[in-house]
Amino acid sequence: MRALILALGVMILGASQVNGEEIRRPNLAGHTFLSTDLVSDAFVRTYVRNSLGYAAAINLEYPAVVIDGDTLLSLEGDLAYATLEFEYQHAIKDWIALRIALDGKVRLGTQLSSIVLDGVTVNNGYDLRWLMRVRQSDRTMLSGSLGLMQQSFTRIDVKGFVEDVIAGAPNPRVVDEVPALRTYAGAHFSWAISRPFGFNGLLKGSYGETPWRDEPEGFGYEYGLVVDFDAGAAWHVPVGLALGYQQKSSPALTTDVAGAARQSVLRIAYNAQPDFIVGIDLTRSSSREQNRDRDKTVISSGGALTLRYYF
Amino acid sequence: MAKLRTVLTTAAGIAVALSIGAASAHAAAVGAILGANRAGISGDAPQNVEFGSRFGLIAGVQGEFGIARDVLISVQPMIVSRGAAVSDADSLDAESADLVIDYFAIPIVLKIMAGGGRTYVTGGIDVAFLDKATLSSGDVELDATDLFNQTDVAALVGFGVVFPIGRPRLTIEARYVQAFSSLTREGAIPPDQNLPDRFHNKGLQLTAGFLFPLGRP
Repeated sequence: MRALILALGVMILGASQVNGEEIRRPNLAGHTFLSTDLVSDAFVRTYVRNSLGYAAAINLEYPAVVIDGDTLLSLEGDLAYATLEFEYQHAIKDWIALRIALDGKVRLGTQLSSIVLDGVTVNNGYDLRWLMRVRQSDRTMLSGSLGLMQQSFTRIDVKGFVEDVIAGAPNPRVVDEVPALRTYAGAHFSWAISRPFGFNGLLKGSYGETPWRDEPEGFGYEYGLVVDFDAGAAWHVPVGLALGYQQKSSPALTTDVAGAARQSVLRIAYNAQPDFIVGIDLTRSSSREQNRDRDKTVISSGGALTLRYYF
Repeated sequence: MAKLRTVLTTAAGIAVALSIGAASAHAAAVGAILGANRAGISGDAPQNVEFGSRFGLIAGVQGEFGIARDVLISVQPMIVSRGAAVSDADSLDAESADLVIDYFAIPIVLKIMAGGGRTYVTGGIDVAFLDKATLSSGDVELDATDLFNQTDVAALVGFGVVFPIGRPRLTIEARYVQAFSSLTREGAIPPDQNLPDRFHNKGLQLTAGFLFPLGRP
């Protein structure tokens, strides 16, 4: 208990020190924004970010696996997701920044049924983006972005391979790698509602190759909204909270998708430092998957640890 | 020869246009570019084929003019050699053929000066027109021009350093170019042997440039 009180004391002391230093984190009209990984803000800043996440979808129902007349499996299964992201944005001028983001994601079955039926999907790639400030007022900032995204989707499909072998299909493959290159344009809006509260919005449209072989090219969209709360401004407690929602047309880690992917996040961050954030994200994702084995919404829940340093 | 004539004509056009606009523009300069392209192909590969990188030459001219403080637009018509080293995925041989795809490219680049004018960052679009493509292995050389699209559109991003040498400037720039249009020309060969749809040029370019300012010092 004494240690906890001491730790809280150190954190509050840290928070009070911020008042005397230059805030390098995004701020407008006395509000310091708590940026999230889900919805990128409108600020042209130099920063580096790293995040590591894990999520799981449990008790998924799978239909019986019947191959050549024999029922092999009829079980429930779980899926596990892991993500690793690295991002660096460099503000060349106070109105333009160049960003590169590298990411790796994996989705895999953790039980025999889900390994066989969902296989393993690995997604990795880069995202190169220009961010340009378009308009700024005392409380708001609007920026535009242009970017190029190269992704690779590697799928290990055991069931599909076995079925293709039995059916005598030419060139059956247990591993398929699908490259996808997309270009996009986005609008980013940040609004300091009051000293403790802020808002970030993102609207993005993209065009290019899809993760699916049978749909070579197509348009996509993404939008997101985040409200953040700086407890330091309200109660002198060095904690920030952010609640966000994102919806996009093309979820990456599924083989067949019949609808948009939705993700919500609750971020709890230690924000005493003027240039650094360490946060825990509690995430919930859902996407409707429609294929020969499943036609339902897959929901996963998890968490991520994220670190962001502003230069 | 026709390609050289095109480059020279474009260079003359740029010089005249920039000379006329030099008085009103923030800064204007013309010059030349020479460099190397570590070219490759990204996306899918045809069955049992692997692509590696190969080096090609870059030669061209450039003209730039300022549009705002520390911001310039640069047009850089150039001859650029792209392609890839092609190897058999099932073979242990490191390389079995060389695919050379020559273009006449016109990168249109936004140049943002930083570090007090000593460094810059570039971004832009590279529109390239196919000249010829050859696939060679040993003494055998095949004309593969008809397999590829006539136009290639790419995005580029780069970083450069400026060395003043009197009034002219010498620049050294590293640039990444990623095409987002497909290389494959539809219907070039029977569908069962066709090149993949997801098939793009890419390249890491290192260039040296020479820029001579126009107008009075």
